Amino acid sequence: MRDDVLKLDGLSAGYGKVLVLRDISFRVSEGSVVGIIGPNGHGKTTLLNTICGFVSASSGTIELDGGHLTGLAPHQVAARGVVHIPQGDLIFPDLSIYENLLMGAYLEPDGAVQARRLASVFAMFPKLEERQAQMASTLSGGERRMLGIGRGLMRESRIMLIDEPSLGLAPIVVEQIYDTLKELKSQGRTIVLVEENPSRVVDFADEIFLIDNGEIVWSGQASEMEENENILETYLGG
Amino acid sequence: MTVLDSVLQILVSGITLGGMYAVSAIGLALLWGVMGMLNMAHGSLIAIGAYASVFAVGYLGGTWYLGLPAAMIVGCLAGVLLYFATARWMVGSGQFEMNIIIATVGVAIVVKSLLIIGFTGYPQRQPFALEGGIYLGNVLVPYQTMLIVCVAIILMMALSWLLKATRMGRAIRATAQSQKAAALMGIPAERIYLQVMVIAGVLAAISGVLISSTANTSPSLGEVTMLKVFIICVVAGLGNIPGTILISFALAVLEAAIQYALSAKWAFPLLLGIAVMILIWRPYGLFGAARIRKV
Ligand SMILES: Nc1ncnc2c1ncn2[C@@H]1O[C@H](COP(=O)(O)OP(=O)(O)O)[C@@H](O)[C@H]1O
Ligand SMILES: [Mg+2]
Repeated sequence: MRDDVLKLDGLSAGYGKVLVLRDISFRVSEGSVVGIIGPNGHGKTTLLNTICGFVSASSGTIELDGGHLTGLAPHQVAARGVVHIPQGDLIFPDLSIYENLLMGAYLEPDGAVQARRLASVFAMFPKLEERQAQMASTLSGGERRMLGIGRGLMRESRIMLIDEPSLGLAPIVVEQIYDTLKELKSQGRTIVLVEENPSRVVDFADEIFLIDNGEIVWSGQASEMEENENILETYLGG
Repeated sequence: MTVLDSVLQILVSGITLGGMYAVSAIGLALLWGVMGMLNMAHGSLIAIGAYASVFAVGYLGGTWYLGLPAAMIVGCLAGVLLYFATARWMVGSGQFEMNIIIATVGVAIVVKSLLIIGFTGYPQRQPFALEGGIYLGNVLVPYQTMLIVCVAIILMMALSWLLKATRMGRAIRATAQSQKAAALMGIPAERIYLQVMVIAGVLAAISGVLISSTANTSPSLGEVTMLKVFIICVVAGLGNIPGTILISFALAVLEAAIQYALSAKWAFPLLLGIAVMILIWRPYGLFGAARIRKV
């Protein structure tokens, strides 16, 4: 058994009095990729936002490497080693690409380490290097996504939470993004990946959780998912 | 006096005013741009700075130029105190922008009372001042004008360096653009708010020294200035620092021209009128976009 990096236990959360997530429990073990799929508006983003501290849990616990994340502010969760690459990228539009990447290394004050990470991000996304002096607001949708991922790679992480990396991108760009994600997986990183569209996740994730109406309604290996086509049909309309 | 002399005269007083306004306005713009804070106690910071210099030189007997570092130290402390008296308890609250206005109005009232108790209400001379000047043709350019312009330029360059080239400055700009994204990077909003309030406190305090050096130091010094500086910020587009600097000088030269052509008492009403017209034409100011804050 590999150690659990992330452990959710009976987690419920929502906005105001409206509960969006109900009794979510799962574990993510070191070096594994967990895929979370489910229809639009059913709580996938809320789940990641609860883990990273944007949304506070109304009950249940979140543990990272055995320590509590529940109740911590987002910057504290980040400091524990959670890298969240959010839906919609949340890049800094009026900072240059280079500065955006440096912000990703805010918690990594060692200049030599920063430089090494920057070099490896540039190797992964040569376009970002070419345009490093430009304002981030000048990037296309695909380049923004690359910047969002690159920024997340600028510091050490215990786990990466990636929210809908294929959202709104042309198929060929989605291909590129997934090539990158596969590279991250092969580096042995622990990843929680959220997607509405299950097709990509199935051959990328080790384990899959299907969220419907804020609850986990099915979980299993990716291979089992293909066998259970009726699950997809029931919850995702085929 | 030739036309050239008149123009020169207007430029000299305009640039002096502009330098003082810019230093003061940047502090206000920074707070709005980074944290959505309309600091109604900005005038207090201005007055505190002026009195810090008066106290250090006039009461403690320091050399005249020690007034400036004294104002910087006190402005820094005032920024810290203002943070712990107000923003510290409101970060992340839903009505931050409204709550902070109310809280800082309260602070302004308290500070003015304390200044009157400590220094009386009578105007006092600002010791941070140079006598004399040089003649450019028929126009006297006072050394004090040069001093003010130098201080203003050095401060603006220092701030620009701080925001552009340091880790702290980058984090401040990042927080201004997206507090959420900044939090994901591990940046605590509270730390940034404190830093920005200290910067604003120091800038406002220095502007208080400069402004009182051309007039007098009195407990209501900050109020008049704050009104003008607020107009500058609104005309520029709240929160936009480069725009704020430009408008500081533009409106100051305009003010000097009105004073020269008409009289001092016309300057403020006319400026207000011009500001209102600009805002009717461009409701978010000349350099402002709707709800976008830029640092
Ligand atoms: N900031 C918010 N305030 C209130 N309700 C929200 C907020 N964000 C999301 N919701 C609601 O929570 C539910 C789940 O949304 P979300 O987690 O974004 O779903 P998904 O990521 O699966 O598409 C939706 O009904 C959505 O309207
Ligand atoms: Mg979502």
